[in-house]
Amino acid sequence: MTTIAIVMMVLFLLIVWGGLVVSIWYLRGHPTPYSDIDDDEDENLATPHTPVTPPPGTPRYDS
Amino acid sequence: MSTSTSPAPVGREQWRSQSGFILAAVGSAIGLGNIWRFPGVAYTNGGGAFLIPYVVALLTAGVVYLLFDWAMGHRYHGSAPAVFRRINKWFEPVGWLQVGISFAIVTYYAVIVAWAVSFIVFSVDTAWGEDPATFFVGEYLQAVPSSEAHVTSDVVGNVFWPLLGIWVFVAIVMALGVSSGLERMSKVFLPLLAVLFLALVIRALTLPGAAEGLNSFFTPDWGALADPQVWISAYAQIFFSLSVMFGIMLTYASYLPKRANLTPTGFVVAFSNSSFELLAGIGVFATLGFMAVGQGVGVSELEGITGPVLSFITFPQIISQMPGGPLFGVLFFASLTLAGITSLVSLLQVISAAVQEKFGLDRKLASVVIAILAGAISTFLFASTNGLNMLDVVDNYVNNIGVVSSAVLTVVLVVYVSKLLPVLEAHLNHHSTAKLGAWWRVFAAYVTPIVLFAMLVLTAVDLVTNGYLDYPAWYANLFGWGTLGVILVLAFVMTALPWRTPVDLFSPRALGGRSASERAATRKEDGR
Repeated sequence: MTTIAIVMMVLFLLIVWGGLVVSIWYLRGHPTPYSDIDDDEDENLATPHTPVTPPPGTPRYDS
Repeated sequence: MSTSTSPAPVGREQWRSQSGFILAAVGSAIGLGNIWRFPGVAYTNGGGAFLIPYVVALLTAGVVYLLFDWAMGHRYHGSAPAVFRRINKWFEPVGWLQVGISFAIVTYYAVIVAWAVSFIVFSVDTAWGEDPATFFVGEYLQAVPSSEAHVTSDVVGNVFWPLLGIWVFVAIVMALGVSSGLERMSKVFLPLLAVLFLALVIRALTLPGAAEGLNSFFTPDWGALADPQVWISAYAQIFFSLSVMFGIMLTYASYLPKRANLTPTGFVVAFSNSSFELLAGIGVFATLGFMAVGQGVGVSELEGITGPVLSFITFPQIISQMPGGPLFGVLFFASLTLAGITSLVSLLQVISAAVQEKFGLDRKLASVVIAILAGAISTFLFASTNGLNMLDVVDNYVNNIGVVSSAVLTVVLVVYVSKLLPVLEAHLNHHSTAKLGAWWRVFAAYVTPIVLFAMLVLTAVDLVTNGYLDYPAWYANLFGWGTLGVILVLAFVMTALPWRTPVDLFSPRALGGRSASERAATRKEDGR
């Protein structure tokens, strides 16, 4: 391989695979536990609340 | 724009984990095009110099519109037609246009995956013999020449049986649902694809002539950077490869829970797709180098280095010549199959989600209905003796005109008519630990749409004035423009039908409460 081809291959790999490594590293450093409840709502879970149920006959989006 | 909260639609499915969502999104992005399109596009558009337009396109179009799609899907929390309707009820046809495009693509995409399945078996004893071209076109597909293309429904048995298997498999995955079907399948298929493809690339790199192939692939032609067509090719590659702006990523993001980290996840998905693409380029050109050295010619003199010809004619030719060829063939076609199936189910999910919500259908019933309908169309149109020609024409028009039109329409309606770009940016920033800046708005609203519009106009003018390849004009018009016309009419017909679910009883996910970055900071302080 010529020097310029090797340089371009290394650059390509560094930018694309480096971008992947950095973005994974960033995401692992900022974990976001998946939930439909925000932390603010977490704090309210101790408060008694009335469960919300859909009216009878409400169609479901997905069963 | 309302910022009040509303509960998630009753019973709507969700991804079970962040890794599951990432794998499914990456699986959707990594498809046949990564393996057979990218290497040829990069090689013919400047080789190593293509790096510059490619990375620019990745950051200014790929990441930008991936996040655009995710913001719409996550904020409006529904299928493509529901999301567009929730933005403005007059926009619903655009959602159905995206569903129609996905439907058209699945009908032929499944057929290509079926070819790959057949070729896994053929690889074991190199069943294509001395002349893979005659074997593929003549014996396997029993195809008629493109200049003699006509309308027929003579189903080819060789293609039918693997195709049936594919449809049964994807119907089962769809019926199992987002978390138990799509997510679980992605968690198995994506790591398997990575291992198989890595093994294939390592083998390719050890072949005599591999360095010659890589030399051709990476040697830069700096003059190419002055050619606008090279930049358009880079944008097109990124745009089609990442599956943005025609419903897939929007639908996938709609299954995310409220608490998600959108922007950093988008970068992971976009760079994963490009990393695989680059790996494919290395593997394909190392293999082509082996072929060139074996024939005593330069890589530039080889023909058939992209598309189905690369996969089903050139590669079989190479497999026959190399030591351990059958194993290499199994690895290659198994990789194609896995990449194809994960993309196929993502396209089907666009259709399934829309049908379920519009007609209030049970998920399993919707999966069966869609699989039977799409399976029947794909069998009679694309598994016929005329299937190869029809596939070529429909693919060209649906991708280059349909998908790009959908993107341009989406930008015009969402950014310019509804002026929602600041809202989508605020949504992404609220649900991300990394903030987007003005650059995202500039590229989403101004720079990239101009490139996409240029792509659309140039392609449309070329097709209208020159037709498509050597196909008879009536044939290209009927199956090219005709398919797009049918999709457009059906988009309006579907819009006119009544919704069986309360699509309008909805308000967007709120931006109130603490943002993702504020929550992350609290967790850090708490040592969580």
